[in-house]
Amino acid sequence: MILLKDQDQIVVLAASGDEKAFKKLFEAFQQPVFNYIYRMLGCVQDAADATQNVFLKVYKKLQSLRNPALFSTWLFSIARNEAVSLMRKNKRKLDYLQNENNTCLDIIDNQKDPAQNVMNKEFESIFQQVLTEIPEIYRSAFILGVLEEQSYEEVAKTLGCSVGNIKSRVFRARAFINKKLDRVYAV
Amino acid sequence: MDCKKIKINISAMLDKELDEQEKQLTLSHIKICSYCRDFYEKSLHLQEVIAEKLYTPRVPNSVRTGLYRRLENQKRSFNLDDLWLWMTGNKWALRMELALVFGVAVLIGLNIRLPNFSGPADISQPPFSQNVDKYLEKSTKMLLELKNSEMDPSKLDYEKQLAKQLLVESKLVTQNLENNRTQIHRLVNELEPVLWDVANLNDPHALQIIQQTIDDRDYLLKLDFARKNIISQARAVK
Repeated sequence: MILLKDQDQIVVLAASGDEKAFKKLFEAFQQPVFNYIYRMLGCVQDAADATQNVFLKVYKKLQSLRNPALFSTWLFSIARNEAVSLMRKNKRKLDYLQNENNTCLDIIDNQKDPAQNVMNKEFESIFQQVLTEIPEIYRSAFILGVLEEQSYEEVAKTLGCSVGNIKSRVFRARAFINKKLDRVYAV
Repeated sequence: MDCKKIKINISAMLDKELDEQEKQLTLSHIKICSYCRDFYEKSLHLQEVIAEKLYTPRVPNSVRTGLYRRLENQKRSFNLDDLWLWMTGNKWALRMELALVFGVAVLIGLNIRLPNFSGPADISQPPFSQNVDKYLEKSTKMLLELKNSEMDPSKLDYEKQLAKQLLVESKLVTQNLENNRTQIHRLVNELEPVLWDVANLNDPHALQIIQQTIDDRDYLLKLDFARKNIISQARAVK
């Protein structure tokens, strides 16, 4: 995943202690990392805390990264570990509709068309609820490969498996979502 | 190709992860298989709905401010986690540390003593030269008395005893001077047979020979010179 021009060079600089370079990487990757963790956990506050932790770990361990070209897969593997760790710690199924502190729903409320707001809010809630029911290995593959639009090869490196496995996992997640939304929503 | 594999291909095709050949095979199958076509249509519709309706929140500002604050705190404080991370994260640092631990263990095992850097000991005269000087002094005295003696050899018990004692001392002095090929060392070697003769003195004839030898070889002069040499060396060290 290349989000910056001369990304490899910036990674090398950041690894050598250049704070400016590290901040560049942070600014470029914070949204994708946050997106992934948010979809894994379903809670904005948890995702914000976890994103901070991820980049703090990146800052401490970046010098151990041998190949700068693998920065994004390495970053997302840290993000995945953080998300899974938080999931196990919390041990809760997110009841998205009852989560009053979820600012995502508040953000959707700010859109201009009220009817559209309601529909989008409803879809967002249901979709996130369905996502949290998918087993973690399929969920990670779906979020990275479909929602974040990363290549299957990159996702395979992040999750430490083959491209064939990723194909299969994404398919299973898709099939599950189709089945669930077919009952609840007009998919 | 079975329907399960086709469905997996459909999923990959929607993510643009299928090569052209497989894509054509999949599309051909979809045309003739209603189950796979149904899956394809539902998956395609889901893709469109996600793109249109799914809203992902922006990263809260607290992430940036919180992270930068923690990085600042990180720079100020030094904790054991960082030390451990530095130690173990750096391969060469870890190898050096292991080598250092191994080296210290070997030194302890070999019980190697480090040199004493407290400085040279305070001496007025080097120990070996002190012993040599005493030896030479006693030798001088004894040979001088012997040279001037007119006594019966049977009455020279004291001198005989002294000679025996000096023979023992000469061994020690020789050991000290073993690696030192100085005049003193040669003199000590020369005196030994003379001292042995004195220690075993039995008849007046033998005494005359010893007295003659002391004169001929200038032992008294050599002894005096050697003693003065030692004293001057001791003063130079001081």
